[in-house]
Amino acid sequence: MKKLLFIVTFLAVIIGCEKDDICIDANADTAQLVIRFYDVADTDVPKAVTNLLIIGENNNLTYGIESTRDSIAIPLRILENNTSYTLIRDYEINDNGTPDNDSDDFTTGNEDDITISYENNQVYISKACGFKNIFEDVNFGFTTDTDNWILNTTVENNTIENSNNAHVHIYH
Amino acid sequence: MRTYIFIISLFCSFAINAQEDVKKDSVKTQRFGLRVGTDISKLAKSIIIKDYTAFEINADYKFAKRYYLAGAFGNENRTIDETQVNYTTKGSYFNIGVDYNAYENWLDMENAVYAGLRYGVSSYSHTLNSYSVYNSGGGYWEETGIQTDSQKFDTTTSHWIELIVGLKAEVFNNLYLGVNVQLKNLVVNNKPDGFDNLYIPGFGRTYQDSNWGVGFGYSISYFIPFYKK
Repeated sequence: MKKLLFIVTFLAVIIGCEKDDICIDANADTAQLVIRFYDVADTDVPKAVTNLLIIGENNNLTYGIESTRDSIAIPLRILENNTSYTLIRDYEINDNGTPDNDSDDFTTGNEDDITISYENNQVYISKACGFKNIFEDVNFGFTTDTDNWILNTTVENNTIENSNNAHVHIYH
Repeated sequence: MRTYIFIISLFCSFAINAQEDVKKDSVKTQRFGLRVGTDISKLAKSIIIKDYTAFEINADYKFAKRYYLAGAFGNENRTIDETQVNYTTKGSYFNIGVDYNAYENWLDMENAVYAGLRYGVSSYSHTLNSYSVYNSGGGYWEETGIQTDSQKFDTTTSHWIELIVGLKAEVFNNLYLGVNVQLKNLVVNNKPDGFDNLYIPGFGRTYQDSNWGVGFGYSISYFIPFYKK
């Protein structure tokens, strides 16, 4: 009986001390939109975008720094049903012939605007991780202007649940 | 005084383990009846902890020299603020089973060192008050991810098997104070669609990927004698 008393109390302490409030589930984070760039002439061949700069619409911060890459991951707004970005190809700062004077600098590049619309679905993951947002019924489009570098797009996966594969392909 | 004797005798019995077998039940009358009480830890926590109210009635009926039919019923209403979720759970529960008193009483004392097996059932519902959406990329859009729209989930049920061990000591005539520890294992746990049973009235908090739970209680109870034998 005394052994039982001891064992039960001991087990109660062990179980009671179990730590389960640290989020270790790698898949618990809300996924970002993954876009891969392909060659419009040969749609199976990835094609990098030179000097790509990414800026969220009405956002004062630049999201992606100037770099050449064939895929990007960008965060979507979970409190709104759409997110817009401006993707600038061949982004460059022109110093206007005065390298010492920043005030007259201007940027050059081809700006194209993209918009992603979706339904937000927040699902419970765990006590430690909280909830995760899943973007469903994803639609993707770009604004046509006089000199689009984006020529075509396809939605490869209309539910954005993880960032393992591309959700959208952009052909240029 | 009887309590002291009980506690001292408990320690003595640890020391003189070997002599236990020698003790013989003397011919003495035993009282049979119903002991009714409440869990004072739940009452105390209701007063001390904000957003917690609970009440429990527990009882045992001595039907044989060492055996009691034992059970409890009660309700709990508790709001818990975890890092990622803030929720309120409320509901009612009961448990029923058999306790075995392993303690050799002196003379006409009626103290107990007991172990029991219970089956517990709880019916309850959760309300999610607020929660966080895990969104590490949310900083760019200045979205904190904290959602405050409250959601109520359907009533759900859980069943469990409970091993309880404890002590009961008669402090005044027919008035008992007790302490116990419970080890519980869920056998039925219906989770609401879209949430989890993080807390179950009568069972306590749950642990991720585990059916185990623990609890403790302090009881105060009164013995109503029915007959002597």
